[in-house]
Amino acid sequence: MLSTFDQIAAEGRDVTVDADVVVVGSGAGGGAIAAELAEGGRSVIVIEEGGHYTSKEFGLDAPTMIKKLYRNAGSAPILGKPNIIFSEGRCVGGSTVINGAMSWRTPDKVLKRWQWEHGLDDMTPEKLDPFFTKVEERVSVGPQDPESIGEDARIMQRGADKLGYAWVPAMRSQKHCCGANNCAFGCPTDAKQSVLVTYVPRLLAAGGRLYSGCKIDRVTTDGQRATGVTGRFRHPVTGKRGPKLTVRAKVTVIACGAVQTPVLLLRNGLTNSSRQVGKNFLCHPNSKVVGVFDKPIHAWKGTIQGNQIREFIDEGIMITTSMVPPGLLAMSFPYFGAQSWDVMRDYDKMLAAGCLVEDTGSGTVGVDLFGEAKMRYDINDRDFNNLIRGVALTSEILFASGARRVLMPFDFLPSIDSPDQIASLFKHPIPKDEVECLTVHAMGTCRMGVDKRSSVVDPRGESWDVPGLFVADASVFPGPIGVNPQITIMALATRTGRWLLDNEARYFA
Amino acid sequence: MSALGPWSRRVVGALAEVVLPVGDGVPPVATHAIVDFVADYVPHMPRLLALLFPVGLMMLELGAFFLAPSLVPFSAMSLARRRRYVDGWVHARWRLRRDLIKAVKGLCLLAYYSDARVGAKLGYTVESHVADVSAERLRRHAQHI
Ligand SMILES: Cc1cc2nc3c(=O)[nH]c(=O)nc-3n(C[C@H](O)[C@H](O)[C@H](O)COP(=O)(O)OP(=O)(O)OC[C@H]3O[C@@H](n4cnc5c(N)ncnc54)[C@H](O)[C@@H]3O)c2cc1C
Ligand code: SF4
Repeated sequence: MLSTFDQIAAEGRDVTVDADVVVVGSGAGGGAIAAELAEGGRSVIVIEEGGHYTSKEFGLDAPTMIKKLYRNAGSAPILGKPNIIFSEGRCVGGSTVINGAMSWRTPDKVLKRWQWEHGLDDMTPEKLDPFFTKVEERVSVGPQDPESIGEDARIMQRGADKLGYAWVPAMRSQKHCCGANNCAFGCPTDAKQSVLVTYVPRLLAAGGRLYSGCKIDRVTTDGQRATGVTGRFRHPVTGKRGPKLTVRAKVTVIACGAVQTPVLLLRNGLTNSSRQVGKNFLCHPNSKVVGVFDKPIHAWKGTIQGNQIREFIDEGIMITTSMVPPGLLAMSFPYFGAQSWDVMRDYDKMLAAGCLVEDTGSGTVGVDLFGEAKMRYDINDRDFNNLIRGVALTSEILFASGARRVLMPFDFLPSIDSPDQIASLFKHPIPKDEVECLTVHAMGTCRMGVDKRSSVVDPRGESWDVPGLFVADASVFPGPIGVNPQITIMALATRTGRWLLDNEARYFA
Repeated sequence: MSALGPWSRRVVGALAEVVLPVGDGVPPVATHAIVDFVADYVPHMPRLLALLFPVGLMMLELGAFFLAPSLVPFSAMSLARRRRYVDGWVHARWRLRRDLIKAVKGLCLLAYYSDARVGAKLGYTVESHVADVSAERLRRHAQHI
């Protein structure tokens, strides 16, 4: 059963409910673990701060949808050198409702690192295979229908082929995606198999309950074990206050994402004996490079990513297309007035590509004056050099595929007109704070490990300090993964759910 | 929902006049629509940023006295002077100035280029594209979805 802010506010009474499990957050991790537990016979309540929207409400006006579906309308800054703009979802289905649906298993080399560096011996491809297989089936991971691939992906592919760079076709969670390219503002056709249209219906069909428009601000304990959560209903857009919610549960799962989970735990002063909550903040910093071609290529048509260039993945660089509507593109350029129009009039001839860097450094998530997230991340020299190299490689591919001009993500070198100029990126050092950087992959802030002195949760996702308190989102990653994370998050959350079901006597007696 | 008072709205309006493209064949969008857009956007920002937003506008407005330098605040300067002044912020050495102008200018441009008429002029006919591909999807795959 789904209860929204409007329904609860109309009743006007505080709500107190009991369940075996309460899950806070309905995104990649929360959705997957909630459905796993509900289908396993447990009574499950999911609480989501954002609103519940269906594909009928997913309009094509980007700013309107950003205000509805994104936390802070996508404008949260991660402070550092450079500042990085961070976007995450805040709606039923979490960031999966606005993500690109790219779906990959955790690379083997990453799992090896997690075994060697963090002692997570169970993190082998073989042992995780059943969870990956289940998740891939649940969210329909597969290749795109050819007609959904846009010209941008084909152009990048031609450029990569010319240079001999390896690429892989996109694997996405979708059913006959038709290339509407509105993924970031909610898929209007329901082709994208986000948590909203996969795990949430499964949860509800299995008797689970979901409250939307309710922000949890307290995790309750009996002095030892977690006993549930309390929060307040708030209108997801206007912020109008509604009744209070109290959930009493045998198991409490926090799945608010790798930025909001540490904020909630830090505000509650919980599970931080290791002092690692909010530390090890990883974000795959990335930058956008735009190629301008001689004729219209309609890069805004076709699925958001049709392929990924993987030639440099072992160096920690991944390159792909990421076209956005004109408003979002124009705001990222240093131009204004007549100059802005001069550039933007070629919008239909533009191809936006992004290069993502697997971080070797990390940042922190803390709590600001208002109890909101305070993010800090100074990109280290190695990752910064990788980012610049990524920008150079992306420019090279764009020129090889026929671009006549490339718009760069730098304040003081806005564009180059020939591949010969790429070398100039390395001649004069580019100050870190002059690079336009963004991210949509937050990870690592409540990391999993075998040593309670250096990790927040154990290898199953349970808090070292507070029994019955679990974390099941991107926070638990012990390190970066270098590829899009949703399948890893869902698989680890499913694994935690399975652990709870297999240990009923311990948790639910 | 608006977090901007009349004073802040005036500064945003003065900036929008500089930032928005004008000229032959460039679709016009009313300045007040841009100001409304920005005013509606600010409350969605992180609380600290939303509170600092008017402070940033004040820096832009009053900074004109010593940065331009000018005898009048930014919003009272001629359009040509405002343009030069904003250009100084975009290319400032001090990063805070660059970041601040990036944010406010960015919102104005987001509002402008998100206008459907502007999008259509750029060839971004997203409504008809989505309608076409959605219909085609149903035609091809109705039995599988
Ligand atoms: C634009 C964009 C594109 C992306 N593209 C891809 C892609 O192609 N492939 C991929 O693998 N990944 C992609 N990602 C990343 C991926 O979607 C996220 O990493 C993933 O969804 C994170 O899962 P999560 O469970 O950690 O958090 P989320 O999915 O963000 O879910 C957290 C949920 O918790 C809720 N919440 C937070 N605090 C509270 C609280 N106090 N009370 C109640 N509820 C709360 C939030 O509102 C949110 O709905 C993208 C992300 C974005 C933003
Ligand atoms: S490209 Fe379009 S149809 Fe495909 S998933 Fe994204 S929004 Fe949906």
